[in-house]
Formats: sequence, C-alpha cells, structure tokens
Amino acid sequence: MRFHRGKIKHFFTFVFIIQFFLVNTLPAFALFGGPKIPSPSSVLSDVEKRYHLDTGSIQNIGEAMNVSSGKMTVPEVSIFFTPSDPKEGEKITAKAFPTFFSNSEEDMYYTWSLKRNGCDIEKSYDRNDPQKRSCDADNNGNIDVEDWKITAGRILVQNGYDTTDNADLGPLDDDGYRAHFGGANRTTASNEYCYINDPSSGTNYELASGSSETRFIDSYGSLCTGNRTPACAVEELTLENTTLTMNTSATGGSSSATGGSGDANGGTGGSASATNASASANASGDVVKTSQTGYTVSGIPACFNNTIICNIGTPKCVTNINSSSPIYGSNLISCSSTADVSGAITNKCQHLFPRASESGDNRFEEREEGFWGTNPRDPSTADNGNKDEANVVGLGQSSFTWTYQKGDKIGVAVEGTSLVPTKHDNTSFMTMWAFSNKKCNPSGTTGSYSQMIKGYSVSFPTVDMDLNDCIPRSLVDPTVGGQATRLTLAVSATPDDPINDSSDDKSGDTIFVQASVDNANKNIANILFDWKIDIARNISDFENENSQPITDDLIDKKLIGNIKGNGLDSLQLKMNLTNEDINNIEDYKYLRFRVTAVESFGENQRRKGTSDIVVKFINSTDKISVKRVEADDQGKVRLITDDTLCDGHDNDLDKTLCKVIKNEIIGLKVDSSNLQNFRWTINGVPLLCNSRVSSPCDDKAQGAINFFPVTGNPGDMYTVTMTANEVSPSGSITDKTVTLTRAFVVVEPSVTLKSTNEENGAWRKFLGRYKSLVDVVGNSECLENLCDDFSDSIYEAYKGTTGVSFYADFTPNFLGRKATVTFTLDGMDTSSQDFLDSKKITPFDITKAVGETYTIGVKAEVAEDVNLRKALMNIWGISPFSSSELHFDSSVQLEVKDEPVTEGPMNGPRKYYAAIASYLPSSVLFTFRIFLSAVLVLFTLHLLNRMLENRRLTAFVNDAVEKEKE
Amino acid sequence: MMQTFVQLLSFFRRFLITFLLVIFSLLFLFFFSESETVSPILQQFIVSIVFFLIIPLVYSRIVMKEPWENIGFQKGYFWTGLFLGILSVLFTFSIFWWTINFFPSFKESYVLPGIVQVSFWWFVFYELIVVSILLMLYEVFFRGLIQFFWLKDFGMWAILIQTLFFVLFSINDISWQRFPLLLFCPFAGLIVYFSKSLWYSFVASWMFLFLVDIFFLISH
Repeated sequence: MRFHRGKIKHFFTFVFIIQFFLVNTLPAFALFGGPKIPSPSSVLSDVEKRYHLDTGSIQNIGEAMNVSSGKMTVPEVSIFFTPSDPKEGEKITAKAFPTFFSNSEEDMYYTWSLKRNGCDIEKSYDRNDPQKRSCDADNNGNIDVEDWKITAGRILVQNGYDTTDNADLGPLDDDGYRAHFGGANRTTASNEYCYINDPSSGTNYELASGSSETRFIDSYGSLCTGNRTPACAVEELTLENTTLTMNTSATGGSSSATGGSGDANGGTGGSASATNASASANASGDVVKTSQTGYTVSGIPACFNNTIICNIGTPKCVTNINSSSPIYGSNLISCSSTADVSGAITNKCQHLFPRASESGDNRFEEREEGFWGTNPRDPSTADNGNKDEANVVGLGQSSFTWTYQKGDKIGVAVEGTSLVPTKHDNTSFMTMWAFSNKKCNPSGTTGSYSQMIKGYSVSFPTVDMDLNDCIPRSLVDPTVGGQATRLTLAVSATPDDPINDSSDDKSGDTIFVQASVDNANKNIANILFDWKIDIARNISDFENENSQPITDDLIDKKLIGNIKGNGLDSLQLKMNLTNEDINNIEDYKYLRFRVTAVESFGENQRRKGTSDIVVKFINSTDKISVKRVEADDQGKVRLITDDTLCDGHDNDLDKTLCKVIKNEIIGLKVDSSNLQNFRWTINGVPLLCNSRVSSPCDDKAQGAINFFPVTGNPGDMYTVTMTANEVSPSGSITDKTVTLTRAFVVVEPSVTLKSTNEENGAWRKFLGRYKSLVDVVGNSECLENLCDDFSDSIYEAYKGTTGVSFYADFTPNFLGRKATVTFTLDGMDTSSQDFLDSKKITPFDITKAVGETYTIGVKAEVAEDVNLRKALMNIWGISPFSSSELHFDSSVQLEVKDEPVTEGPMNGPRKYYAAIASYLPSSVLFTFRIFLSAVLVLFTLHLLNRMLENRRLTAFVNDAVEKEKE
Repeated sequence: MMQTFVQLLSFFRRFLITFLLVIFSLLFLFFFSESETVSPILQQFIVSIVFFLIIPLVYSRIVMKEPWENIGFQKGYFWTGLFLGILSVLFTFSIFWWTINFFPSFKESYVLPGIVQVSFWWFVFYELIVVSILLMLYEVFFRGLIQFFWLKDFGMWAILIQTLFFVLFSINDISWQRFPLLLFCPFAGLIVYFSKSLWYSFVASWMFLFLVDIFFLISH
C-alpha cells in the first residue's frame, strides 16, 4: 500500500483540529454551569460527528501508515533473452530492464555473471581437468562468482576483439574510469549509503558493520538494564473530591458581601456584609484538588554526547513499560553511547564489479589490459563509446551478448540510486543493487545504530554482508521460461468457392493452399511441412472429430502430390473427387487443410506450429458447354447447339483446357434449369451478351449463353467464369451460388497425318525408350515408367501391305469440320471424294522395294464464314483483314520394311545365346564371330591336310579298289 | 592312274591347302559384309589381325607343323637385307619423287589423318604403332605366307605373284593414298627373297612410308 501525501496531510490537519479544540474549548465549559472536564474520547467522538469522519477509515489510514516504511518500492531488474530459445553455438543477447532507480539506464553499473556448465563454485578443483581450469578465469585456484563475473566481463570489454591482432601500434591509451556509488551521475554525493532490502519484512538495511550500544544510569547509580527500560515519562494527575464549608451570618441595615478567593490548591470562601441589615456567608475549603497517580511513557530517551534527551517528559528507568497502568521508576541521571565512539560503525558500501579492488579506480594499467584481453593502445576496445575500464565496471551495459553453450546461466546485478531517501541528514538516497531473479535477502549479521537527527534519535538497521553472496541465486537459465515459442503459421486457399467435378470429366477447380510462417528462424526450405486433408459435411464436424481423413485416398488417386517434406509450404488439390473416391461425395461440403510445420535445431530441439483452413466447395456436374457459332447476314451470332467443342470426345485434355484459334468466335452455354441471375466474366472482365450480339440474349439481364471472340495470340489463355444463383425446384433463390469456370488456350492451327491402322498398316517408327520423370499410369506405351518413343513424322510398313491410309488430325479438333483438305502421295494428288469427307488419304499398297520411302502430304485450308467475319467486325470491331483464310500443311515419310523373319521358340542353347547376345557389347560379339570363323577355317584345313596324307589316301584308294573287286 | 593321282595329290597337298587358305582369306576380306553395330575401323582391324596375322601363324605352326622360320620370322641374311633395304628405299623414293612431279593430284590426294598433322605425339603414335602394325600384317600375309611359305618353289616369280595378290586385294581401293604401298610391294618381295627374312622388308617398308609421310607433312 502506498501513502499519498494528500492523505497524510489530511490526517495531520485532523490532529491539529483535535488539539485546537482540546486546548481552546475548555474555558468555554464555564459558560455551561460549573466545572466539567470532558473525556478525550467524548471530544474526539464529537469531532468525528461534526466533520463526518468515519472511525474505520481513520483507523485504516493509521494502520497503513504504521507499516508504510516496509512497502517502499525498491529497485528491481528483469532480464529478457533474444532469442528466447537459444541453440548451442548461437549468439544470444540478454537485455536487462532495471526499474525503480533514479538513474538513467546508461548511468548505472551492470555487473554480468556468466556461469558455464560445470563451473560450479569450488574452493579447490582438479587442475588436471581442462574444463575446470577453463572455469577459473582469474586462475586463482578456485572457482567462485568472481570467475563468472570475469568471464562475462571479458566478453563485454573485448566485444569480439582479436587479442592476437597487434596491428594497432599507437601509443598506450589512457582508459581508466572512476566509478561512483549509485551510478555515474552521483559524482557530487558526499556520503554514500548502501542498502539492501529485505523482501520479507520490507526493511532496508544499511550495509554497515557494528552497532551502537547506549547505557543509562539512574539516580541510584544503577545501570538501567534487564527488566528495567529507559523511558521518557510524564506525570499522570487525577482530580480529587473537594469540600467547601459555608459560614453564614445576618444583621439589619445594609449589607455587603465579598467573594472568596482561591488558587489552584483550594480557596477560601467569599464574604458578604449588609448595611443596616446585614447577613454574611463565607465558604472555606479546596475548590480543585489533584493527585498524582503515576507516570505514563511519552517516548524513548536518547543519549547524545553523554546527555539524556527526552523531548516530552522526564527520563525514567521504568519496569513494565508496556503496561497500561501508570508506571513508576527512578530518574535517569546520566548516559553513555558507543555510537559516539569514532569507528564503531563501519560503512560496508562496496561495488560488485569484477576484481572490485582495482576496477573503477581510474587506473587501467597495461597489466589490467592484459588480464582483460583489451587493446592497450585502444581506449575503447569494444568500440562502444566507453573506456575499457568503464566497460569492466559495466557502465551502461544493459545488454550482454555471448555465444550460448548448453548449460549456460546468466545473472546481472545493477547498481544505482534508488528512489528511497535515506534518514540521514543530507541529500543522500539509498544506493541499492537489483539482482536478476530477485533473490537477495540480508544474510549477514544484522544490527542498528542511532543518530541524533534534527534533535531526534533516529535508528538505522544495519547488516554486515557481502552482496556477492547473492550472485549465485541471481543466475538465470536462458532456456527456462523462454522455451521455444510456437511457429506462427498462416494458411490461405484459393479460389474462394472451388467447384468439385464429381463427374468423369475431371474439370474441377484446383485448390491452391499456401502456408506461411511468420517467426521462423530458418529458411523456409529447411522447415518440415506435413499436410493432412479432412472432409466433412459441416464445419462443426471438424471440431467434433466427425470429419473423414482423405489424405491417403487423394494420394492414391493422384489428386495431390507430396504431403510431407522440407519447404513444402504449398499444396494443390485437383477437385475431381468422385463417388468412387469418397462415398456420397455430394453430401460433403467442406475440406480442411491442416498443416504442421516443424523447425529442427538438433537433438530434441524443435519448434512446431500448426494451422488449418476450411474450404467450402461446391459439388457440381454442371459445366460451361463450348459451342460452335454461326452468324446471320446481319452479323448477329447464334449457337450451333448440336456442335459442341472441347467435349473430350477426341481428346480428354480438351475438357480441361479447350484449344481455340485466333479470330474464332466461341459460344458458351450453361444449363439454366436451376440457375438465375447470371454473371459472366472473361479473365476477370465482365463478358456481356445483349441483343446486338445475339438475338437470344436479353438487354436487361445476362442469360445462360454468351459469346466471345478469340483475339489473343498463340499461348494466350482465357478463363471464362459464370456465376449464378441456384434456384430451388419451387422457384425461389437459394443461398447457394454456383460458379462455373472454363479455360481456353489459343493455339496455332495445325494438321498432322496419322496412320489409320497402326496394327496392320503403317506404324510410327520406334526411336527408342526414355525414362519418364513422372509416374505414368494407364499408358500402354510405358512399362514401369520406361516409355517407348515413337516418331511422329516417320512411319514404317511392310512391303506388300495393302490398304495403307492416313488421316488428317487437326488442332484444334473442330477445324477438321470446316477445313478443305487435299492429300498427296509422293507429290501426286491422291484426293478422292470418297475419303475426303472423312479426312483420309485414299488407301494405297506398299509396292516399293525394301528401304525405299513414300512421302505422304496433306494441305488444309480453312476459310471463315463471311457472316462470322461480319459479326467479328460489327460486334467486336475486328478487321476482316485479320480473319482471312488459313492455310497449313504437313507431311510424313513412310519407310518400306522387309517382312520379319519368323523366329523359333526361345529354348535350349538359343535362349542362352540370346541372353549373352543381349548383354555383351557388339564389338565383343563381332570378335567372337571372327575368331570362330578363323577356327573353322583352320580346322577345315587341318582336316583336309590330314586326309590328304599319302598313307591315308593310299589306304583309302586300296580299300575302294578291293571293294570294287569284290 | 588313280595311284598316280593320289600320289600327286598327296605330294602337292601343302601347296593346295595353302592355296585354299590364301584364296579363302582374300575372298573373305573382299566380300566381308560390315556389321551395323560395330565401328567399321574396328571391324577392319579385328579381321585383318585374324586373317593376316593369327591364321597364317597358327596355320604354319599347328596345321602344317612347321616352324615360323618358314614364314619368314628368322634373321636371314643381315647385310643382304640391309643393303637391299636401303637400296629399295632410295630407289622407290626416287620413283615417288618422280611421280609427285608428274602427277600433282598425288600430292593433293595423299592426306594424313587430321590429328596427326597437328599433333606431334599423335604423329609419333601413328607412325610407330598404326603404320607398323599395318605393315607387319601385310608382310606376314603377302610376303610371309604367300611368297615365302606357299610359293617358295616358284623362285623370283613368287615376287610377282604376291604383288599381283596385293594388287587384287587393293583393287577396291586403288588410289594415290595406297600408291606408296603398291609401289614398295615388289621391292619388299625382293628383299624377302634375297634376305630370307621378313624383318628387313618390314623395316624398309616402314622407312619408305615414314619418309613419304614426312614429305607430305612438310609439303602440306
């Protein structure tokens, strides 16, 4: 509780008022019929009533004032760490925030202590232990708080200075600094009083050793001690009953009477006389009589220069000083006090600086420079504006940055001038220290001493302690209370209302989900992201855990890619969820994308963050149909309703991305049976259809059909979006908004020739195989992602094949419906009307020799309808010169191959030879064949040579002759 | 009659069988069809090694059970070989010089491999290894097998016949590029005939080709 000056002022005003009434109102009682002494309680009671003073309130004020001295605001300090979750080897900064000091931050002394892991206090340690030896910063044979302070101090004063750097060879510097108690701005203070606050009692103890003892001697020559206590006492008087004796007499004539007289001790009665007739009366006896009942304590006597001083009363040596009854005792006649002896009380004010005996003494010699590792030729090695010795004493060093090691503990003691004034008769304020952790209690010998100040004896509690004892308790572990904060994740998803295509068209939107991390320490590429996707009918299902996890299903269906990986901060989901993927997909409306990000720093050191976003999607099989367009002679367009483009009939990809060519008019149509209030946009710009464009269009509102001309160049894209309100079967508009999208890409018109029969006619030439970089599923040309590569311009066919034919394949496909084509075979026109309608070349037979080729060509011409060109000009202002005829052509080469040799079954030695032949290099096989030939030749020659030997031939001939004879 | 025929056949079997070998080898090389999967140069190298070197050596040693001396791998007459070698080189180089002057196209047509022209070490490799191997193959087959082993009894005619076989072998590749080899072929046969050794003809052939290559390298 704090006491405001205003309250105290009111209280004293109240006391003065009471005193005024007590002193000045007594004579007035004579006006009310005789002597009557009111009790103090009745007087105070009357005052309270008159001034509406509540007894309880006054008591509260008094009670609070009694303990107010113990509730002073004393200095404190807090430490904040950046980062709050330091990693080993990382730079960490501790910032001290001292409060309740009168100094500014830069005028205070910050004594930092850095205790490394294993550097606990030890009187004598094993010097063979290198770790312990490194703890002994001052190399004095023991590990104590001084080492911790020096460890931190060196970091501060060096501030990264390389002690081996002797490049600066200037003169020796003068970088001494004199420290002042209470801060750098307390240079004029004549007396320094250092205090330590006892947080339990609130008492501020002055750092001093010794205490004063006062002796009082009473009138009997005895020492007032033991059960007798020196006290200042005043007499206590009581009024006694008095009796007045009345004497009367009476005569004739006049009469006179005189009153009696009296003093404080009684009085005499008056007299009366009468003339002529006279009567007289007098009274005798004490009017007022008091008696002493004892003494009451008015204070404690002080002894100053061997003189007993009582401000009120007389000095007595009394027993039972706390008794409520009147007390008695002998008078005190002399005294003596040890406080008056010089040196009895020793001021124990000491800085907490590292090496405090020599730090801050305005001398920073080369020896000290060497100890601290500072540059003796640079007055500010740390380059922070402070002299080196000022940095040693921590002047203004509210921040401390060091390289964190596991187990480090940090502490700070801040020295400054508090806001609490001392009781000493000068301008001094208490010099105090604030310790981190706020754990510093007076722990030494306590005592007190008294001083006469302004005529009063003032007592000063003292404690004799070393504040260094508080440093171990002030150490803070930077990681305690500052554990890793969570990663702050934000997730966003586009588009807002994605559409899921539950049909087989696979034309649903792609949801793009992006996660961003605000407070990551590492690069996004080093953060592990883990995505999970749930689906639910209602949002509350996610909270009630009634949602259905579908992540694995989506992976199996190839609708999403990787879900876990470093730097995987985005996810794309193709909204083509069908009933096959998720049962009753039509019932689901919400998707939740949950992402977990983990930032790892090493073993068991990680930061985590999770976030999610719920996306509402619309299940729809509706789509924007793309129609061919025709125009009337007035230049108005209309849909050819039965000619649908990009319906996936020829190419499945067309349903997703419809190919169109420049200067084409595209018609758009949606099923309007359950939709109303249409809005069309193309690339975000409104797309309007009115009666000027097409007769079915309304001038008042947009309808279910629309048109747009393709004006872009090849490669440009158009995105047409239709938004409409859904209408219930009853005809009322529901709260559901349907958004349909269709994408178009402008392509260069082209035609290619393709074989009508690759099985038994001409086939694409096999070029080799390639490894597909993406998983290929359902492609007959790929086996385990090893795909066959075929030429598109070279075909092959066996000699003698009949009925080989090629057809023209147009891009975009609908061009074939209005193109005029001619085919050539080896430059000769082979167009036949029978096959032109189906855009095929007249079938021909392969009659050329093996190795010869055929060249098949196709030329196409597309002439845009005149009315459509007129519409382009009238409606959209496109010049007819840019919508002229299109010409394009293509050709392929057909190589004649020999019929394949029939291969026998692969068994026996044949299969081993096949296996060897397939694995051995060709050069080895070739050499092997040549050597076999050589061996065969030599063997044959050898055989022949042996056969032609004379004896063999002779024997052979003789045998033949004998047989002939027989 | 039959007995006589048999005896003749048996008597000339060495001649007949060697004839078959020579004819087969030349026909094989002449009608050799290249494989599409192996480099043509590598194929030529392998086939030449087998048919011009390995087969003659194996044939001589295993089939005919004769020492390699009979194919020309012997010291022979050193001074004769040396003298005839030097003489042949000088004479053929004179003819070569005369030819160069009368046929300018010779100079334009004879081209060394590009890398040999620009790199000294490739030139050294080419002359010491490639040319040496090539000449050794020709010496073994044409001078060793045909002239020395097969037609030994034909005397000086053998020199002419082996030259004709070499011309026949080169019939597909008659060019100025091959002219130095064709030019030196009869002189190589002459050296072998008189020195009774392949080594001198081999060294003389190599020396002549080396001088020719040096000449073209400088003149180009």
